[in-house]
Amino acid sequence: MLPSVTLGSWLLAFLPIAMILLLMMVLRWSGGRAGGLSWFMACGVAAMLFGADADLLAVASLKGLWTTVFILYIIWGAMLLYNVVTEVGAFDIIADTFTRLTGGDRMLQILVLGWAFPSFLQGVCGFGTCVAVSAPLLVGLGFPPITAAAAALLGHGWSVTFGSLGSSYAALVSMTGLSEAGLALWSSIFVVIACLLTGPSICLLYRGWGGLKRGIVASLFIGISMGATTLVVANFLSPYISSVLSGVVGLVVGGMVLPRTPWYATAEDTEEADSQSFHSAFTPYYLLLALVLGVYLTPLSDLLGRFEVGLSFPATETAHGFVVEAVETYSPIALLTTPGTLILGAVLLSILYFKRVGMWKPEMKSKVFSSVFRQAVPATVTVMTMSMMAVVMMDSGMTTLLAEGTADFTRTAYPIVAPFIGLLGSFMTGSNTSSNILFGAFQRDVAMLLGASGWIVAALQTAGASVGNAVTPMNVALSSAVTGTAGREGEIITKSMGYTLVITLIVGLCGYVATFYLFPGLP
Amino acid sequence: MTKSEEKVGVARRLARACSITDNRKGLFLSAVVAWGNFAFLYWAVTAGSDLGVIAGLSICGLSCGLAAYFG
Repeated sequence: MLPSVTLGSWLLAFLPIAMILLLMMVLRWSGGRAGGLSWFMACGVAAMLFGADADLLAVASLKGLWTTVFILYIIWGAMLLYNVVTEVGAFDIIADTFTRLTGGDRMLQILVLGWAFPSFLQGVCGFGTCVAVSAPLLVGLGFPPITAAAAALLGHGWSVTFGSLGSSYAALVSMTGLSEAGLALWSSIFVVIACLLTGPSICLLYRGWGGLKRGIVASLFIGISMGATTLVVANFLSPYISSVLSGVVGLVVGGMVLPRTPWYATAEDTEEADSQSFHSAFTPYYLLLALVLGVYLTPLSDLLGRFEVGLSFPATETAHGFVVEAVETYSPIALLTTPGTLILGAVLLSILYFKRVGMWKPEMKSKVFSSVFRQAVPATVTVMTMSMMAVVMMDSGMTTLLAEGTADFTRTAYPIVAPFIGLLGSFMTGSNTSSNILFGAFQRDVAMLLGASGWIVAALQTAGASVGNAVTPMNVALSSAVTGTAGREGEIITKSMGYTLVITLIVGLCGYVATFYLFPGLP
Repeated sequence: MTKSEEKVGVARRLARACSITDNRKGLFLSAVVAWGNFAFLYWAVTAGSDLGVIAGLSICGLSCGLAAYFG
């Protein structure tokens, strides 16, 4: 199946990832540059050590490219939305209103717009849309673009497992075959731990220890309210809507309750904002939310979701016998319900609306398109090269060897490492769902072998994959595109990587304690 | 502006438009090469053409090389 798992083969399999991290975080190379070189590295290692032939490399690269259609559609749509809103001057109005609503408190703004708002958006839509929408809002409020990008990335991570109406969680359930009751319980526990750590992380990221001191009360209020909602909804109502509802609760607590408490109340009258012009400026986002809710939370989703486009790919096999089965429709895109289409729909409706109220002028069109082109091209290349590299690694067995090697080396400490394997899956695929599909069954099997609880280890997998969304090259490229920092992906990933690793480690340690000390006999 | 000066101006503009001194243009070219090659490589893979696969993979490499150079 695979080359024998040794430290040497593990390190070689890790080489393309190490190269990306080194080039982007240490040498501060752009994502496209690092991704281009890493594709060569992945192909070289796959061919020389893993026995991949030209057919396998070609099929994997094609799969990687095809996968990007989905995310590129979101990136270009989000850039269009952002530039339309900016060009008509709506962003200034939105920024001004948010400043007033939060009494000008920067910490509340970054916690609400960088944590609660993306969590809500992740709940209903996901797939990077939350980062694409919330990060530019933070930039519009005057936050440094790198901080805005890193905050939105970190802020949405915890909610990914139950986000997109539970698609990642559903993948975990189907891949592991474990009972839903136990999975929902443990998954919700671990993502809530991640949630509670996210608020303080954003405070630290923004203003260091001073920021933590200023924002700790808000972090606790928002974190506990979103966490409690997640626990209750996931276990007593439905895990599939827990991110949506916890996001709503977080928005209410952060945007309406906290500004009226003694910790964050200011002398400014928070009711004086010009609500009419705000609602007019915010119309594109209302339209996007209406489209998302209208399509995803109604039977329209099933009806429109039937129009899918996908490519078929032949089976591949390495010289070592690592087989990837043929697929009839690889990574299908539901043309009418994919987030990119909804964003594009919101853009078109917004332009019609702005035309009607006299805010849109014909000469703005060329300005918007040239801005979109300038901002989205670097992100496009980053996403393409990274995705091709990731699928080459997966289809040649390198990713599987990395996971198996890690399980071999760690043994009883495995629960600590389990979320990192989930994170690795997210890093490679850019998706919690794909990570769960890739490693869900593997994590369950390792848990059984080591005598650990399948529920706990599988939940650690999805929690790590969820948090790992904050550092996936594709999401980082998306956030850099929408904050106008294309080419500075390395800075964003450096800023969010430390917090992501610490959160994942703490989740893993909690899993270890639960596995061997609190619930040792759990199935 | 005389006719010859005008011609030089046009040539300069053309050269500037075609030259890939700008990194963003280079990245765009990389994306165009990759997507242009997609259909060809997909055909080669599904038709089982070994030569096509090698050629398509080489163009894929060219696209990644452009990304690495201009990124």
